[in-house]
Amino acid sequence: MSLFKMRDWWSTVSGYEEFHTNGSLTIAPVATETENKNVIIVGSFSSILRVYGPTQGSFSPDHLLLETQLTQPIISLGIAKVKSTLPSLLVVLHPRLLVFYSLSLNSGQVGLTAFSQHSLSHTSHSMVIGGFGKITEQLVCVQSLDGQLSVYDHNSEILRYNLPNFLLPGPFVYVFRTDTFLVSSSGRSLDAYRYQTLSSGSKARKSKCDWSLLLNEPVVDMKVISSDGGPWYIMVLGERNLYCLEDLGIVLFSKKLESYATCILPYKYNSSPVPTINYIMAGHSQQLQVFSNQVMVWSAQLSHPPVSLAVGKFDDLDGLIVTLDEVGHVQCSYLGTDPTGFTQSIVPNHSVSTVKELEEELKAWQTTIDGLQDNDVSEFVQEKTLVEVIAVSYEEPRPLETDEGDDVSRRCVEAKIKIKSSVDSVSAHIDLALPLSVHPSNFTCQSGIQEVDLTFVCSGDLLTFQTEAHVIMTYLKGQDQTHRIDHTLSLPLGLLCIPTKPQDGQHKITLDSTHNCVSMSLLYPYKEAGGGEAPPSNAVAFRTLNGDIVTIISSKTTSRYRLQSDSFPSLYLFANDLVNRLKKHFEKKKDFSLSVPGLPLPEYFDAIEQHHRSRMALQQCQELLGKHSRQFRAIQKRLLARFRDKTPAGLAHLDTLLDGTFMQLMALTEKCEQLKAEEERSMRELNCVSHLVILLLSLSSHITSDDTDVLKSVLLCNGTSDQGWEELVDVGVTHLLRFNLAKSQKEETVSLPDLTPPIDCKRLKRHLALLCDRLVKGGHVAPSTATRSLNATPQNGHLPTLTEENEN
Amino acid sequence: MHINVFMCKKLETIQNLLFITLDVPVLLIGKLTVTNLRIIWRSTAKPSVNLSIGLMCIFQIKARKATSKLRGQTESVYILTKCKKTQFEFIFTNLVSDTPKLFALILAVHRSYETSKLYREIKLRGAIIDNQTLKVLPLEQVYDKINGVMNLCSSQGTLGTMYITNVRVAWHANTNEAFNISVPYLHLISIKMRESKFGLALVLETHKDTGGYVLGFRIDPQEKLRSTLQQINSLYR
Repeated sequence: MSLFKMRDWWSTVSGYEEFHTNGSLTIAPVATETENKNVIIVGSFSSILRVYGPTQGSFSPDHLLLETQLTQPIISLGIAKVKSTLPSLLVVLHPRLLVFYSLSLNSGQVGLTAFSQHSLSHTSHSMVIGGFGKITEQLVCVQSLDGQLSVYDHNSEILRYNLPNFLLPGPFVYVFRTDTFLVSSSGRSLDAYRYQTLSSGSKARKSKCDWSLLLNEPVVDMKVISSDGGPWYIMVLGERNLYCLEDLGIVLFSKKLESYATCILPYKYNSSPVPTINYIMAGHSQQLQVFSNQVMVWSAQLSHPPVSLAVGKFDDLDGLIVTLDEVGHVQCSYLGTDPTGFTQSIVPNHSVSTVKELEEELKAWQTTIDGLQDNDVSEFVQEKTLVEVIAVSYEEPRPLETDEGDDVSRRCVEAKIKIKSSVDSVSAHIDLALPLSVHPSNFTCQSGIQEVDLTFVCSGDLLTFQTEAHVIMTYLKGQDQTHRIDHTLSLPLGLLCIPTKPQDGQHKITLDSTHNCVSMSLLYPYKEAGGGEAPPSNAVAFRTLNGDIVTIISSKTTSRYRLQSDSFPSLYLFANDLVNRLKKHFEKKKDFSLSVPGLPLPEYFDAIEQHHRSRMALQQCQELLGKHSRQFRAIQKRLLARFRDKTPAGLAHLDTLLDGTFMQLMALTEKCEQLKAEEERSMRELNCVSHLVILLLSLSSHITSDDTDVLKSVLLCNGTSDQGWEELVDVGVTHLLRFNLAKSQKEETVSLPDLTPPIDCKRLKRHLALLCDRLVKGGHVAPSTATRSLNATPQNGHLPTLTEENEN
Repeated sequence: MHINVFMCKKLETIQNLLFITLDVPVLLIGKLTVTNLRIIWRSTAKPSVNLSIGLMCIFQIKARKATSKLRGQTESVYILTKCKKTQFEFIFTNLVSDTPKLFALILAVHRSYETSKLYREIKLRGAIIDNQTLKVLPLEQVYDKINGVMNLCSSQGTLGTMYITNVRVAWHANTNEAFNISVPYLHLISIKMRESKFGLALVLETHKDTGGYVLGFRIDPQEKLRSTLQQINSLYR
């Protein structure tokens, strides 16, 4: 892509779907009454000869001076001064005919008169015009397809000569100074034949060429540069190289071509101070390149790949470059020095609005959007009846059957889900968190009531903290509006655990109730069916799939419930379940509420510590892995350098070192994987504990569901590799403390911690304790209620100590 | 000029890569209509964004096949146009794969446009006469051939033959076949009789977009001139 483009001076299309070749273009001087004028002559293979007299501007019908249909296809055109007394004649080479025409221009009309013609006995390929034998009159030499050179003057044929070792014709030229024909032969060489030899030698004798130069590539085009006194030069354009030869066959220079060139045109040879050969070259890259010796001095883009080039003077403007392409685009152009910057012709006429107008427009759009949103809600309510889950029924949960019998660590439950739909092609997806899975997780429903069988599976290798499945149903309404309906399924507890004997536990949680305790058998009715012996009615126990046993005890005397287990994280699932069951049981009693005497903060902090430890261990292991792999690469590099060396030094135990490092690497990688699994496990435990803490906090009477949502968004986050849980939660909690739970102006200025992995969790623990404390004492974290909490703070008397604690 | 415009093919959902500036290609989806005179493209999203490319401005049509991950094998047509001094390049891609080949269609329409230039454009000194008779175009009918029609140039008259056909008026000099003119009725703006220095003459005036030539012909006798004028006038309508 060139920055510069050829500037169009005049252009036209010479015929449509007519084909042209290298010799199809020539510029001829035509004598008018007053002056000599140059015309462009184009001859096509469709045997039409056209003469153009261009003037600047677009093509007009009177630029065509002559269009005539000749008898045979036109192979080549040339201008020959056959006699000093006659004006130049136009030589037209047809396959079997050579015609000399005289051109005249009278009142805008070009007259073409046949001067003389020769019929050719051999089919012609190309011709050359020159004063062969160093005479002043010009003769024409025609090369036939079978390698015969025949020389004609305007009257008669002068000689014939068969080229030796001929296979295919190629370009040929005549050099006047040495009186030699240079013929590019199919042997990929350039052969020189003296005209003297040709004319004197009889037809029978095969005379050898004068000299020969092996080029090793086919010749595309050849041109001669004449000079006064010094040697003449020949430009030979091959397929891949360009050669400049002196007339005695000495290569002056050669140049490798970047792309396939089709034509070359030398112009203006300067012999002083140093011989400078200027030439133009063009080809399939649609680039016209101007060279001075071997240096490219200019390059411009053409609109067509040309097959023929010429330079001429038109309309008193000298040096116009005429290009002709294969299908007949004739273009007169010049090399403009300004890059053709794009000028955008159509500029959309936008009036620039003021800020005020834009604001008004924005407001108008806002109201429109608000209106639409309101409508949407009502539409949505209506639509909800379009697709609906009407019933879900579960079978008895059972251990998963595999080929090797029942798998104790995995349980499954079969469910039937009834979907009522009034639209077609509802696609449903069931979203579940690990370790729960469902089959099938995707299905489609047609209109009407449809029953789908589902199998939920729970595996015991991971800790569960979710007992809900989300069914997401999407359907198309109208053309392309996608609508979505969510439905939450609560899975039976039996999928996640099996009943067992009550046991004492290390960790305990106590829930105070405003009402008397309910019997456990009332709360867990299906338990009898699964359990073997009848347990005491005030205690139930479950064993989760990973082996933790959780016991729930209801007090006979006080209104208290207790959950106990050796594994603290496992408690969440059952605490949540118990709270839901109790709430459901006391649905009708409005004053029912649960409360917690104390938050299990030590256990929470233990979980945090454990996660932090595992994270740090993983990080250290990864760093170590990085170091070892660097070492491994360094050893590899050294070894490679030794092997590449021609006279290598000894290995100096580098191979042993490489082996050792490799072993270390493998061991470290395995350890990393173990640590990663460990980290994930502790993260899961931490999440469970966080859930539990949020659940217990939310039991406080004043905590709204908005507050719970905020807490969930802050405390339940999964860390990434570079941003772990600790720093994310720390930032979130600090933000809450600073803005939503701030006790004084001073606290609001506390800067947020940056998101770098902390060395220990002291600060985080302190902040969490502060957060829990403030929440228990009536604080709010939801944005709408935060102001309330700020206003309420002065009434509490025990603030200063907490504020001081926050200082760091 | 837009008489007899008929629709050749309408292709839906054609993507147009319109290079509004050199750096930022804008991708728009619209409908492409190819008629015998022009290629029309309208954006589906914004009907105010549209294009009309007259077939006369087109100087090169290229097709490129591309395999895209989104649409598989696709065919893009690059249309290079020149309008006055500015060159435009338009790229159309057919988004619907089983519709007829876009490139073949545009090329065929452009080809038939290019080869039917003689029906629409004035030709001076063209190769329209062969052996003293007019080369008749496809579907052209020669209604009248009038011998002895003198073309009146600035200073002299040239005797020749005039042909009146259903698409054009053509004349050539009897002595020089290459001295000829072919004027389709599309380019005539007036046909009248006028007094000149050679006497009463038939004057054909052509549209100034194509040179604004005033061509004078003398036909003898005057009755013949009048009847010729009437004939050309009725054909011109």
